[in-house]
Amino acid sequence: MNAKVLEVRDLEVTIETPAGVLTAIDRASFDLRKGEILGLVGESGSGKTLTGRAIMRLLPSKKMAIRSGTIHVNGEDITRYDESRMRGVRGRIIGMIFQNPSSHLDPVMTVGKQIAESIKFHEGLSSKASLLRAAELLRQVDIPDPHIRLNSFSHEFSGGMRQRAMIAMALACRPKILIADEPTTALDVTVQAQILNLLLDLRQRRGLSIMLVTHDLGVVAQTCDTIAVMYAGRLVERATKKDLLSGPLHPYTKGLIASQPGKTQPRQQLPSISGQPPALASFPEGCRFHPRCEFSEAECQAAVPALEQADRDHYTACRRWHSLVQQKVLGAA
Amino acid sequence: MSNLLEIENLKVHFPLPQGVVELLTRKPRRVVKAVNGVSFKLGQGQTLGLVGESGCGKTTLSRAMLGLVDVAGGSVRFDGQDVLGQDRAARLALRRRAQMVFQDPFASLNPKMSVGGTLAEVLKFHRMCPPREVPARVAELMQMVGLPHELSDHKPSELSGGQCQRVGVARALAVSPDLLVADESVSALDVSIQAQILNLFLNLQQEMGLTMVFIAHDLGVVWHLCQTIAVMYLGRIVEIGAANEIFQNPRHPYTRALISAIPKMHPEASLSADLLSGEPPSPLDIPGGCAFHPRCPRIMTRCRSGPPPELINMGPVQVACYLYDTEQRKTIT
Repeated sequence: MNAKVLEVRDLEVTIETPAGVLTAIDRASFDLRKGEILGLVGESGSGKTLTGRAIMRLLPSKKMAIRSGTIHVNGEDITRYDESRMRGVRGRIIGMIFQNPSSHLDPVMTVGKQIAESIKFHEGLSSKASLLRAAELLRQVDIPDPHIRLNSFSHEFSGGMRQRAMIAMALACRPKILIADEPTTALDVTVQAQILNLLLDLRQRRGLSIMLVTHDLGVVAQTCDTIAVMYAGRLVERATKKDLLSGPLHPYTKGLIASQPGKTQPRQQLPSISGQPPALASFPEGCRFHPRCEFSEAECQAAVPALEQADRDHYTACRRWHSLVQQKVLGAA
Repeated sequence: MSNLLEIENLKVHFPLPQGVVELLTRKPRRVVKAVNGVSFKLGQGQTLGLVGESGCGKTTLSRAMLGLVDVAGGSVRFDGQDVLGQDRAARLALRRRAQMVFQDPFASLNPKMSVGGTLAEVLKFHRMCPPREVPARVAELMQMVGLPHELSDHKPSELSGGQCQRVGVARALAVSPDLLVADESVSALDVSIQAQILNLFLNLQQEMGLTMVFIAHDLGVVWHLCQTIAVMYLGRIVEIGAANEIFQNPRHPYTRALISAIPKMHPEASLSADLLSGEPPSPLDIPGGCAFHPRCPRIMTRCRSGPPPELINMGPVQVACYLYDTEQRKTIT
């Protein structure tokens, strides 16, 4: 098995609000191995995006902070790094791409200059040399006529090309890890498939490790090796793609998979999870999924379930998983 | 079965504003041909799914159906009556029978108005019931879409996305319409909530016999909900027919590519090899001949030079592609 390039242990992110300090991410732990694609799946408010941003130390507000936990990259805990050392990590060790490329590209700077900027900063190349490198990067992400496209502005690009340009920018300084936050959500299915293909290809060619943050189980099923499911700030299940999709061991994961159209006969009622994901200020006690869970007991409301190992690479945070597997409610059919 | 909606060679064109230079040089005015000759019929109680990439004209088509945009040519007949070019009173009467649910659940509701107030306003404006029966009717509508009655005094900001979307559906149902047009009504919702809203739509179809036009870019959702599917590309329908047939036996090369690009939720799923290259061209300059020819994997000479292919009847579906033209076949053999 490949070496771990990223190890997140008991990551806890808090937000200061007038109502007190709230825990947005509650002790999340996972690994990313060399050349692996990890899918971080969850609904809005589950903390999946925040996990990616916490790793990059790009939390969206000053009121948010990593309260405890460690993030090891190459054996060093980057939560201890100060801002100037973090600048050496961003782009150079970990690259990041976002859902909406238009709002993360500078509208008044040519695409070429934006890519070249980070090469100049991190590697100290001359303007000319870094622009040449930028053109080569654009070619690698399959943008036609890269030398001409260097001088284009982002508004002259289509949605898919902007996402390609952002990938080129994130990879400019050859990071080993790429955090992709909903990279295809704003794109058409045909273009989404092209971008996912590009990510798979880059993993192959560069040995890149990718953390793919998404709400779309279909995207995850086609690209990821490992899947981690988040619910209300906690990691509820983690397994290889095959184990998780064919034999989920958490009622939430099972519900998510079942509620996708395509598994049910057309025009029949979809099995849906009742209720809605809780808001940050009103996370339930105990297992946070219990109010929506059809298998919850009194005990589930009291004790916080730990992420326990159910199988070799399969972890679940449901205290009832064992009995539910015996009742053939969870696990492989 | 009578047809509720009949659309004949419908065209919606948006002329672009001209600059001084263009005016002085007397350049011809550029026109976005958003809908460019669309015809179909929709029977009472049927559900039609409109799919296609962004910019293909599906939203414009839906607005034209309800008489919400100016039309450049063709006709829209609703229950035998011409929708276009009617006076205000007749349009109002039409609006009572054809309603729309929008994509963004928050933006389509008045933020200052409570749920009950929003629904009551529609009832009063369209004089759907005597004033003293309004509160009872509001309660009934809320129950119909699965909203707890306590939420009646809540503002949209206090509701979740799924709840707002239910208000949007209740508002459309308030006038007891015959036709409901849902424009990307589930794409902004979380996966677990999406299944709930899809179930709601299914119930409405089955219990109230509502005729629906359902626009979505997610083909899985459309397949689940609709009996008939129309695939649009650059303002034209390229394939239309029974949903099962289109999904299991797609004929048009574009439909094939679109369906192979859907992420599959299978544990062994991988990305399909026959992906479309490029992105849809701008509707400002639609390629001559068949508009799909620059991206088509099975292009022939005639596709470039001939007139845009007409829909050809092939039993359960109609396809606009020269591959299926019998004339063409004769010349080959």
